[in-house]
Amino acid sequence: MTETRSHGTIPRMRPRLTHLVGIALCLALAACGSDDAVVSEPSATASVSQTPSASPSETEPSPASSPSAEPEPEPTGPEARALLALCTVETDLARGDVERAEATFENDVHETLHEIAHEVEEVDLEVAAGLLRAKYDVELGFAQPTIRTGPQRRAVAALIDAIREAMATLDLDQPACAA
Amino acid sequence: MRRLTHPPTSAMMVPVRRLAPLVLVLTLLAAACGSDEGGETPASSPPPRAQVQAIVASVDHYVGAPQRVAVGLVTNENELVSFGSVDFAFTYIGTAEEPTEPQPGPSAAADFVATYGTEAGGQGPAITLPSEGRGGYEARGVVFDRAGFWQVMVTAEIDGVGTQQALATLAVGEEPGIPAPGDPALETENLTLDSKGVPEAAVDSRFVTDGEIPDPELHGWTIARAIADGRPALVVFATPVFCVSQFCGPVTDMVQDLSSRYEDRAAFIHVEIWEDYETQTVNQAALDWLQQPSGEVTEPWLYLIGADGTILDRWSTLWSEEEVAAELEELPPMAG
Repeated sequence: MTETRSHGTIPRMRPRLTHLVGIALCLALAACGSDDAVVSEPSATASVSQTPSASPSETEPSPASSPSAEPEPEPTGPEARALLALCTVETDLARGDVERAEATFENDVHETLHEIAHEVEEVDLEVAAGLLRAKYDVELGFAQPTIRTGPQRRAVAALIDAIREAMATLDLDQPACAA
Repeated sequence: MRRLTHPPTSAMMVPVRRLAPLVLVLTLLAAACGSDEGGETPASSPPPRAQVQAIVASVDHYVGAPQRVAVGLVTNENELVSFGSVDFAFTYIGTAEEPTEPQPGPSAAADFVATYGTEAGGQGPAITLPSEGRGGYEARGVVFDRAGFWQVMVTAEIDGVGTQQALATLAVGEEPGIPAPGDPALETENLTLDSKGVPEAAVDSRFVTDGEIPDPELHGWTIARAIADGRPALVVFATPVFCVSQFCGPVTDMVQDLSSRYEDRAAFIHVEIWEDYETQTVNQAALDWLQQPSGEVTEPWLYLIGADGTILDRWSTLWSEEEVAAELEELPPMAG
């Protein structure tokens, strides 16, 4: 077999992906005024870059800085909900409830991950790549005939880290996983 | 509030002519948003969870040839409508330059096509969670007689809900934007496992997570070699890892499954979309096949190429394994 692939300049471009059912429909709802498919405007107080040393963890919500400060409301956007659902997936896996973990991932996490990836790839392709790789690892784990909860928990934990990094890149507030 | 930036109608906004005036875009967007009874609010509204939105999932529609049209249905609770069949009724609404009053066009029954690996069961259209059913509705053999914008009214009898209608818009070109049935297949030297000096992830994006290419049987042939050998080929263009839709990984798995069942009928080829995702460099083979005149590339796509090098069929977005299998079975068994 001969390899005659062109070594000329390959155009750098972004394929516009076909918007298939779920993701496209979610976006359509956004365009049609559904609050379910919008993300919160970045909060001035939530920007990691604006508070580089204010919090011990740049990706965790900042604790109240003084006794008189009002507690920050928990983020409620779709990304935050997906992150919290992913925390639940990890908890369910820890309990050995694989079926529930998979259903939660499919129903409450999967589509939003696609949306976050699509958003973050406009800003930071390395972060987007990390998120998509981590997502794929979790999907691959759930697709196995027998799911090994240990490795799958680690894959989910890695995905939680990846989604937090993506949300930080998008200047989105992040809820903490329940203890 | 900041909305997600990706235009909701982008999949159906491949321009018939390069420039679509903003007013038309807004008109189409409004059309896509108006769902019930052609955009009018019915006197007795169904329960909020039952209000259905339609989105055209298929792309590159064109005049004069039978083709598939796929539509996904979702409720305003982000649940899906799955299973059974629905009805499509198409209406021509003109071009960007000359919008017209809606003019009736073809109609067709559309069957549910489940995403590979998900449940396909269920009697009639039903509201489902993604874990219960996921896919879209596909009508086959739809012929458009004019280029321009068309609307599709979807009518579904949904279990426990009743009759629901939803409207979506699609663009129809004078000609297909990318290779279509009847065209000669491009004699492409896509990357294979034998390709020298290229990263494995450019051959299959799954290498970056798996550390190996999970389906080497899909990376042994170039399209050019299959044509030269007079061998039919089933070619899937997809990026399993870096796809931001939910179908790419499963469709490649489907082709791998088909390759094990029909290895005597065709060469099976997976063309990875990305040469390097992080630099947004697209593999030349994917560009050669999938780049629209507008510059857009959509994926995933599946092509069936005949022994004489003519494209026999193509599928965009999602497809039924049974339908592809039936077309493979029509090919004569190959020797050797």
